[in-house]
Amino acid sequence: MRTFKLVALLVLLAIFSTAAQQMSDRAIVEKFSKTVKDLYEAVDVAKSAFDCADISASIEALKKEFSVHKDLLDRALYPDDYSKTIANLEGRLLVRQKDLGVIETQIARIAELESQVRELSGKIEDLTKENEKLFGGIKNLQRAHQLNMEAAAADRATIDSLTNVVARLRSNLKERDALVFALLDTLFMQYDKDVASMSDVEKQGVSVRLERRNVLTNIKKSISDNLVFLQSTSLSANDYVEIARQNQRFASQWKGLGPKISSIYLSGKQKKNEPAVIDSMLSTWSAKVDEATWRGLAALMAKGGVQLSSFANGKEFTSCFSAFVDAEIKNAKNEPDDVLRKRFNTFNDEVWQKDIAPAWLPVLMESGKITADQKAEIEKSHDSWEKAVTPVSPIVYILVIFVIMLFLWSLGRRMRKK
Amino acid sequence: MKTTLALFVCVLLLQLTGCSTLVLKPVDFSWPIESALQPDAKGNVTEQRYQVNFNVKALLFEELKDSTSVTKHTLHLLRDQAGFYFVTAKGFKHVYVFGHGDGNLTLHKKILVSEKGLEAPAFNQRAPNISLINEKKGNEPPVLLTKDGIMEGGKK
Repeated sequence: MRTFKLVALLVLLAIFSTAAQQMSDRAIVEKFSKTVKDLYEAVDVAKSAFDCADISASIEALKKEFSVHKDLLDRALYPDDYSKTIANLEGRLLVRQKDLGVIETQIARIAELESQVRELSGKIEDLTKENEKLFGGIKNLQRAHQLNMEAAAADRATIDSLTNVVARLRSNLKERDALVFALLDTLFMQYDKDVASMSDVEKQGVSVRLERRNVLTNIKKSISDNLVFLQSTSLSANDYVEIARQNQRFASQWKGLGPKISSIYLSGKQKKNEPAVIDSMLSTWSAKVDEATWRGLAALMAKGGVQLSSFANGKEFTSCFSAFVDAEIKNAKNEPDDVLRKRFNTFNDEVWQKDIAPAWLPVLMESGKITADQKAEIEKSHDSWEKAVTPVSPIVYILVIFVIMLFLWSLGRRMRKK
Repeated sequence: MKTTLALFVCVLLLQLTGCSTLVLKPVDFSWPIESALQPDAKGNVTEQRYQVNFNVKALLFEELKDSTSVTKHTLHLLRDQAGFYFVTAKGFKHVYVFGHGDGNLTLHKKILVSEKGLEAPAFNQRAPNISLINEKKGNEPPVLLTKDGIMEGGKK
């Protein structure tokens, strides 16, 4: 019950702080007085170190919010002024902590983590807002780019801006995802124990905190934003690599924390299905990432002059590439050497050395899209292709002539002896 | 004759000195925040902190031509530095400025602030003025009031 009161209090704080810019002084004073009154009540019913830490964090938030109105509050509050009111409240909390036998360090630790949680929440909100703007920016730039294309005008600047916005958005999404999971981690860390060994009250506490920080909403928002980003038409081949990597990281983090959240919500009615919803959204995202990855890889191969028949998984890709290389090697007899060599060099220089070998293959393997054997097979095919088109070095010819001459000379000597 | 005149002047001076009003200044009568007061069935409102009590039936009749349903109005009251009381309420078109009389509040000025009636009025103390805001429309600029009317440049 007390936790709910605190939550209601914090929600009120949030609502009021974002409300109208012009606020009546009376409303400010009344809000302060009400919050203080609620906190006194929360102190009186606090039963654990966690409750005390929660109240302590709320007092800090109260100070942060109302310190700008100190002059007004000093004049308006009676008989105490602002500082005295806060000091009295903190004093009451201290007495309660002593009554409960709560150790100061416990409070400090929990309060520190709570402040981290607040900070992370703030950052997530900021990034969410910025990302919304960036998505809007991408749309506008794409529109501008299309118009310019139609007018056949050079729009290097638009393309550059678009690339920059996409890069910024990619990095923001990555940072936001990391923050959401850091937030989730911090929330669980406050309890210093496994979810399995938590009491119902503690689980209830975690669930209230998860809701207060909109953790599940933020996770869903992360997935949907990543999906929107994936559908952006301005992604480069390397963006797909990064997206695949990000999807993999997200999935593995969710794999670790999802069961904990499921366990927290097991008894609740409303949010019980939320983890399953996230699982399903994540599957959709992963499937889309898969599609986009193979599509991106096919485009990249085509850019290097390697037109493969369509593939949709690691096995198909491996066999398509091997088949292509085999065909190239067989064709070696029918086509001039320099044509074959040029084709290989284009692929090798522009795609293989730059993107496939250093970025794509490790990420594909890391994310389980290809196996180690398939990776080895692809590399082997590449090597075979290279060997097939690489002309024999003149040194080899010299060596062969030298060996033949040596052989003939030794043969002649032996025959003379006979 | 001269002595009589001198004595008369002295007596007059002494009397004048004795009758002159003792003035203490400066005085700041201002309240830091407004009070929102709900009249009782008889139309009386009581400000607890400053212990002011008065009847608002006449005021409600003046503004709304109705003093029967007094309890449904919340009056906003704030006193300025000079001691004038500023009163208004939701739906009012005017702000009433009252001076302190002998056992009464005397209307000093009736200031027209809204043709449609105020939506969510609130007073803020902005000495030496009183600021009137609309709490529902935070972006609207405040109206700065003095005891004699709307301050020049302070109208929305």
